[in-house]
Amino acid sequence: MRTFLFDLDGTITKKELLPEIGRACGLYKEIAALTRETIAGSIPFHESIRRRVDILKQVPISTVRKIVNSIPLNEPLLQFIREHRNRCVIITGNLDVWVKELCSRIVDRVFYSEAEADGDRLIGLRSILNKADAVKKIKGPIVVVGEGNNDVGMFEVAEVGIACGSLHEPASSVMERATHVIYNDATLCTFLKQLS
Amino acid sequence: MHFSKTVIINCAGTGSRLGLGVTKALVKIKGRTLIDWQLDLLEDVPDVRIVVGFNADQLIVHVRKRRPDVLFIFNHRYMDTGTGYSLWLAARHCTGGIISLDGDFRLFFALQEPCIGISSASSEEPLYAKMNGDHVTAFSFKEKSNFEWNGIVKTHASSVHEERGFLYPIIEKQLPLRAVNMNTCEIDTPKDFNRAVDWIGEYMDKRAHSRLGAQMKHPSPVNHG
Repeated sequence: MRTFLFDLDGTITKKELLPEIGRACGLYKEIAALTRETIAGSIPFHESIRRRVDILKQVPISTVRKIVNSIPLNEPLLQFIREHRNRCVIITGNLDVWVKELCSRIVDRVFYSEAEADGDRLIGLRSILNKADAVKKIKGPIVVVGEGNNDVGMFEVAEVGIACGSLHEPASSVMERATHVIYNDATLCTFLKQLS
Repeated sequence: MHFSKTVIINCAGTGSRLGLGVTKALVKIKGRTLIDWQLDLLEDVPDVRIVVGFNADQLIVHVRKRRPDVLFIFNHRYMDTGTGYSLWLAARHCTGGIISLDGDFRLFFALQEPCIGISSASSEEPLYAKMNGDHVTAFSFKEKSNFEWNGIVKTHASSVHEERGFLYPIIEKQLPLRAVNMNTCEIDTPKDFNRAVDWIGEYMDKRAHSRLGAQMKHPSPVNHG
């Protein structure tokens, strides 16, 4: 039986999270530029998240969480996940303290990067998720849905790797390894149902 | 037997026999690409899947402008595999029936059985279809027949096994198949291409004449302001 792995930012969410957090906190320019370069793969993910966390340290965790919880989600995709919840997993490089609340509403199994926090204050990073390592913990055939350069490790081992272009162009490294590319939410859900 | 309406178009190849340096789907005839001409016929088909390989980026950009709902399948090994492999890549995650176009197939949708498209043998390198009544019983490159296989087939996704080379050996194993005679034009070589330009020109003329005829029969209402 196949397990479905989803990236969070730009796949389940209809907007990239960090630029939205940046926008709400008056730090949009810095964060958006970093996010763009990260998706394209011109900055390694671990370096990018370090820099982003440094910028966003000044913002209370509860504020970020509130912004995250208000981001619009891909409703047709959520419907599929609801119907196959026990076979769906979210794999995100984002910080547990920011996105845990949102993710655990959607699925039961999530992999995150881990933050070091002191109450409502973000201090730094405890661990950065390596998606290629995380995916090894999933048994059996997998279907991956993602678009960013840090998803490549998952695409390399997936039976079916779907580059999702509904929010923005998937990274070229993802396109080189994907078995499929889909730009339309309804088409994506129809195909996922066929695979389920 | 129920057939879902999944249409698969193979556009992964390099079009090497045609020798234009661009995948065949992007070759223009009468100012429009071949994939545009094909998509015209598929406007009512909700599930269109295109296998891409050579020139994938350009083809995806082109198709998305018109049909953002298309599912694209990558054949990353387009250089050392053929149309059979492309169809297998597309079919292995389909359920039910599929129609494969290597290129008016409404009858294909209507028929509730596997079937195969044939056309008058006219291409430069035809794969002849040996007929018995309304069924194709065998393929041959050598043994001539009045008909050739036009690359269109309706079959079960589960009947498509892994095949690195051409598509016809996969289909050959399923013969005999009910034949549907179609007016199509195969393009593999430069000579085929020139023939296709004339063929589409004739089609456009006929369409223009029939529109004119319809307008004369049913004139448009005059707006008297």
